Amino acid sequence: MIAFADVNYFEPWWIQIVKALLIFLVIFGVLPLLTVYERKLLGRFQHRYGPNRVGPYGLMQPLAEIVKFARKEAFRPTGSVGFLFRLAPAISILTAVGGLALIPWGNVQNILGTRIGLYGIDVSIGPLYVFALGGISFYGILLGGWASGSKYSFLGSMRAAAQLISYEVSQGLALVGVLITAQTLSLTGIVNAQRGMWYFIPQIVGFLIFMVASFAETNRAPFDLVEADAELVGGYFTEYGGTGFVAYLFAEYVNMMVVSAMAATLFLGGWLLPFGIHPPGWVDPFVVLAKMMLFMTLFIWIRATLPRLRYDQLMSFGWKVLLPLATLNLLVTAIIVVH
Amino acid sequence: MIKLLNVLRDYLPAVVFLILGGAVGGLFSTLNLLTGVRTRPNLNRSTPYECGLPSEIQRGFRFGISFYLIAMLFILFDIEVIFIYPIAVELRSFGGFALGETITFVILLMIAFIYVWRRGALEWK
Amino acid sequence: MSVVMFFLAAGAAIIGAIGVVTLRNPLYSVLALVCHLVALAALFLLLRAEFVAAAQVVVYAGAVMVLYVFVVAYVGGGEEVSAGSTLRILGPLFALALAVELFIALLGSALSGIHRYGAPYKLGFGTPEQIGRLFLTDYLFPFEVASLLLLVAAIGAVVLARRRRGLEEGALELKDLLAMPRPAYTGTIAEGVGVRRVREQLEQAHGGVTEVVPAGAPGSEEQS
Repeated sequence: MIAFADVNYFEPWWIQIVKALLIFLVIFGVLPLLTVYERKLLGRFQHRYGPNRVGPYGLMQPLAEIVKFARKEAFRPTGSVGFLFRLAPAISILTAVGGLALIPWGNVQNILGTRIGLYGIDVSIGPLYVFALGGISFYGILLGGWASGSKYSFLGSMRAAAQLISYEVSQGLALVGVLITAQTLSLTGIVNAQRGMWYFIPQIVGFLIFMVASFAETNRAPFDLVEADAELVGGYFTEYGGTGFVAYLFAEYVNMMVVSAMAATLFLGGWLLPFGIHPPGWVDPFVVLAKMMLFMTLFIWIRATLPRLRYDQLMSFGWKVLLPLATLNLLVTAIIVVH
Repeated sequence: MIKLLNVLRDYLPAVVFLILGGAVGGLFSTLNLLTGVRTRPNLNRSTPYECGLPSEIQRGFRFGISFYLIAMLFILFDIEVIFIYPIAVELRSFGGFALGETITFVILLMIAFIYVWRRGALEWK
Repeated sequence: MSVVMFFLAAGAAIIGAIGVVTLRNPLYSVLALVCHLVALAALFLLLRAEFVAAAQVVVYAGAVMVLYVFVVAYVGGGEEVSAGSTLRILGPLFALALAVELFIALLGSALSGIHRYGAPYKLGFGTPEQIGRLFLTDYLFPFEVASLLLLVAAIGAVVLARRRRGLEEGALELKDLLAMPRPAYTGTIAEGVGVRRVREQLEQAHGGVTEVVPAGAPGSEEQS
């Protein structure tokens, strides 16, 4: 009767809070390293070194930069709406960080006699939670552009908004094949359903659609028209400087992590290892992290490889290619699974 | 009684994450006010970015109808996603009957999609 | 904790709703409505209707409100709008009628429920699984009709957009644009800032600058 995952146990409330804090702190620590990783890798792709002066291997670069950004003047253009101008980046971060709660790092484990689920939340609505937050993050971008009082910002934010909504549909529909096969929306349930075979093999079309749509949703190259400097001068954060600008970058990286984790969970078997290897429970989070890093590397690789699309190409690709393909994938999966 | 509160308790970590996100977001968006350098207000420097020939466009300028159409289409397919998700989860246990219903649902929406496409609403201008 | 959450969400819902009707800037009204809808989703969550809460945010706050924002941008946001005189009288009347109706419903049913336990609750209530089962059994007909409704909505949207002349037939291709006669001093930046050489070159090439002024532009009368 009850299909969603193992929720018939109760973690004490303080364990829930502690594990949420712990996950957040780890992500908060990994994130600056990720920015260095991206720039080192981009440097290598372009036959240069990337940051290598501050600290060993340039690892202290983010620290130096955050100090630099914090010392910037609190700039606000004339004609901007002060309250919303400050609120908008906060909304972006709020929704991005909220998405971290859903990442399943491992199954329910016995730690010191208590059963603890290695995830923030494992709810029956699963990916819909992230989609709901994504719907709200739209306002972070839109308000950022609108409250700046600059036409470039507003134009950029409107185009970002149109791009986000165009690809959100394909992203949502691409998952339906997985849901039909797994028969649950709970992410731990989906991972456990992949014990036989990871979903990216039978659901390769859905996987590709999901990845392409995710690139567009996180505003990464080749879909980074939102910040296309040649035509939009930086998009919705044209007028942002200092930590407001960092806030949008932070949100983008967290979104990338959430999307990578979602892809790893839904299509690459989450914490499972191939060839029937069953490591002890404490390895699970590292497996998930490794799979996430795989996707992060892909994000960076694509950024270094592909040129930016034109805006009308972007829109027609989303609506005329991805959406029909996702629908077809849905129908074919449904027919195959039921028969 | 504990069992009743169970579903809500599932969301406690999410609330913690949202509070943390709000705190970090608030910190980032106000940090410059506290730690940034202060300068005398300067009218020229605080005008919004401008480039090329001065243009007449102001903040209240109007956007094309394409945005409206895209948003309308988005609503349609968003509702489709919301309807399809619960059906997809139950599809296997209901078998062929549910499959027929799903296909009818999707094909009706595809008719709408093809109509919109043929009428040129997907051309971005 | 659920009591605290309830009052927070209920308060946010009421403030949002008041904001929608009192704020004069249409964009602020939309934002207040978003706040209201998200607060409603939190209330749904407190009723253990997880899926409905998610759908509320995804569809209403994430999609319908996006349409509102785009419509505000299309109409030209930022200006304050004022209602016509008929609406000014009819609006409060309708609001009053609705308020009376709601109070009758509230006093009739909800008050008696305050001091009792809620309805019996089964584990698995409000999950997508349960909603899916309901769609395929009790609410099969509404589910199928919904897709028909969406079809009608799509056609309506296109028809409305056409009436606004948003989708014109025979859009201009790039080569048409290049072949079109254009107003002088609008082609290149050098021309725009009035570099004389460009004009001289143009005069040599065409035997005179094509002074085409777009219809309705200031100065079009003098030219013709």
